[in-house]
Amino acid sequence: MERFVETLIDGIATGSIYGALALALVLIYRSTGIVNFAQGELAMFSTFIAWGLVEAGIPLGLAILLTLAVSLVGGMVIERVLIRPVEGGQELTLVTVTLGLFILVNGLARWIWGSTNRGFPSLFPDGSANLVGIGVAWESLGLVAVLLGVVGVLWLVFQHTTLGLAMRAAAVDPAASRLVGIPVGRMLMLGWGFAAVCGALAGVLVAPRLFLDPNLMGPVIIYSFAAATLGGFDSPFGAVLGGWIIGVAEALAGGYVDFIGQDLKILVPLGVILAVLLIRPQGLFGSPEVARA
Amino acid sequence: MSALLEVEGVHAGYGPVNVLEDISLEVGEGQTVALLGANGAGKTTTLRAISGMLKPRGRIRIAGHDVTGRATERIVKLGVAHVPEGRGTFAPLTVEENLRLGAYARRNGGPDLERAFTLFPRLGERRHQRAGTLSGGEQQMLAIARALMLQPRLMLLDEPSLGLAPNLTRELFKVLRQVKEDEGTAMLVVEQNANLVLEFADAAHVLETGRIVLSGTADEVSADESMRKAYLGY
Amino acid sequence: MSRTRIAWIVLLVLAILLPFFFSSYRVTQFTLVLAYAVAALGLNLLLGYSGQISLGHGAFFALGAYVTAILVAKSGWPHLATIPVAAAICAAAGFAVGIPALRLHGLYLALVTLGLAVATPQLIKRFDGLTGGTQGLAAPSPSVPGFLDFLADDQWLYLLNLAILVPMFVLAAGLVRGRVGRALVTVRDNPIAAKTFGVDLAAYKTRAFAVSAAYAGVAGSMFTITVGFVAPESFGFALSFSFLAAVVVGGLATVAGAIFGALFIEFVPVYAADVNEALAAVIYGGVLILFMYVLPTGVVGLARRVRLRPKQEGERDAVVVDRGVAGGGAGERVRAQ
Repeated sequence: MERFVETLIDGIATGSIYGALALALVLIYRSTGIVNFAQGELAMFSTFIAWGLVEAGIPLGLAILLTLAVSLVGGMVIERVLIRPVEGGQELTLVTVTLGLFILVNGLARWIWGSTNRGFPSLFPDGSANLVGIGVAWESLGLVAVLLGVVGVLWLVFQHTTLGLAMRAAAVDPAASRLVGIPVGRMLMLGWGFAAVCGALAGVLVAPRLFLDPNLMGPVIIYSFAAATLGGFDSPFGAVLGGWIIGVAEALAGGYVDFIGQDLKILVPLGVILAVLLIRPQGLFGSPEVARA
Repeated sequence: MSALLEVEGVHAGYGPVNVLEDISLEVGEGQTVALLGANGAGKTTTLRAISGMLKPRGRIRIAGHDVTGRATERIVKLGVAHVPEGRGTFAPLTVEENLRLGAYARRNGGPDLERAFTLFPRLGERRHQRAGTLSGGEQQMLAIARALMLQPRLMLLDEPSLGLAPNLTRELFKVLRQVKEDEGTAMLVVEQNANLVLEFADAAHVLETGRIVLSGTADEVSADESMRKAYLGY
Repeated sequence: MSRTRIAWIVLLVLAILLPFFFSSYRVTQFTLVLAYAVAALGLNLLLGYSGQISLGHGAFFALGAYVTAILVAKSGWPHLATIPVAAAICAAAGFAVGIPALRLHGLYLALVTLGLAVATPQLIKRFDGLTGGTQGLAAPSPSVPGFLDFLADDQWLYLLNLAILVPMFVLAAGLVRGRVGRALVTVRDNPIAAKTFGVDLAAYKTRAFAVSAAYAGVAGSMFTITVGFVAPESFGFALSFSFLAAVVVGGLATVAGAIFGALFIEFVPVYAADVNEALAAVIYGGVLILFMYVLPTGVVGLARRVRLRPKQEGERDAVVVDRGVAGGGAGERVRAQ
């Protein structure tokens, strides 16, 4: 029983990271209808920037804040320069461009930082808190708290600010948005910027648990794709919940199903993606139109 | 003093297809001008060219600014509210959110929701409902109300009565007349229902296959023999 | 004889002479180009002709490679005899993937197949009893037969692979020009019209997937024959990405493009590695993006455009021309039945 609860908590903690990256995917999908295959690599690149800042002697917290700012700008620039020319294009074009970005960013990271493993400091203290008799690692609590914090901030921005309202409008109907004076292009840039920030957070959260190298996000992005697919590609809450479900499913499958074990854990997100797409393509919380995209 | 809107020798179209041929017209401050003509004559295209939804050749000036080829969102900032055909409300957003978006480009003051709800009480009752759940008539009201949130100097109205029941159409034009009288908002109205719009317009232009074939005051246009036969039905 | 046919024959003669003018090291690289060309051709049949996006063709390539390796190493089969088996197994696998793929549209199919590519090395490791796991599996390349003993090993392997490639290309060319190809193009460009004309969408799409996977499988066999060794690292998702790069660079919906594409993915990393191991990836990525902006029809599209220019002024996109012609042809054909 105790092992079960621990596995569950571990799954939710890991799932929070998947959720953060899935949020990034959802933000971009909602605003531009693009599944950004490069999202994980951008997150990895951001994490390297944070690592570089920490190596340069900047305190971790400040380094992460700076990284988030750089990511915001970076995401906006990428949208404007690389994505804008093909926006609204054929699916193959969009897939190819974001895949190209994936390969490009991964290559750049290997060029700049090499392929060696590096340690990345954790934001959270070691040890665990005692919650109703069960020891829960501070890190697990921290991961969940950060994800909830991100969701909270995004919710506030989207539901309670004019900027957020304008971003939602631009995602719903670009032409009508222009007619009320919304600079749609800038909203799309911001969408990519916010997504890059969510991704960067996912990166700095996952890096201490693994080692930082250019392939850091390779597996994570697959789990996040599964989370976003499960939750519905246009639903931020779905992304978070999907992240948790996938995290727990992965932990349980890896711990309890012998055939799967540690090697084949990757089949969990794949199975989920396939099952969801075949049974309920819009995901748990997505709107049906998404399935037709 | 030049007119609020000046359109001079405008050609426009979609891709290689040219729809408008040498269109020139003016709308003075506070003036209401009707654009009449059969389907496909280029009325909607004229409005789209003015609000920058497509790139015209020729010259379009609004309040003295040359806006030819300028981006739509920047033209809106000059106080131009375009209510497109088919309404263009944001279906998944609430009535209130739609109205707040209408005031997005306004420079001064926050959105004055109460005024919209006074003009259109039905919208007040449904302020937290999603726009997509409104009836067609209510969505049209919402589109007009949203345009008014800008406190526009110039409204471009594309078929405001399309698909509305006759009593709703009368109600709508009553509101438009009220806005015109209270606030002196200039309007360029595209309308199938020529009788209705000529009653309240100051001037009118008749378009045929992308050209203006008849221009004059509302009375002159109403009196024109060919116009009467073609559009007014008597 | 048409000019195109003459060009192909000249190309074939050059291809046959090629191993006699290069070092053994280069010849082996060209041999791999042949394998990649077959894989790219297979992916292009799917991507270019039926419009389905697969980011997982590396998985079928791996499957073919392992079928050959296992049959040769464990059951002592002759190499060439394993090729039909690899093709059949991969066709079955492609058919199986093609069925759920019917219900998945563009981006989602890309996602699922990407997952397939990512899972491939893990699956190979998991079934280590059969595959040799991380250690890999040695299946020595076939040796030069007695009557060809004037050939060096690398020359022999090159010519052997060329002999496998040629029928694959001839078959593909026949396929895309024939009834099936035209139906596929119609399915891609106008699924609703295709349905109206009685083209059985589901059947064509799943068959396209099967054929495409079979090509990738044969390419995998060619890889094993050439390299003589298989291991999971050779079949990571980067491989699937290179196939996509090959198709995009060579040109969608072209048969000849597969060769340009394969040359590109084999030699760019070779030359880039002189500067930095990661440079190849940077170039790949940059080129993929760039091609989508400036040359969406690939190298072959560019060649066609240059050739078409004097005749068809104002035509911006050579592929569009192809689509129009092919699509119309298929429509007429179906109507005539």
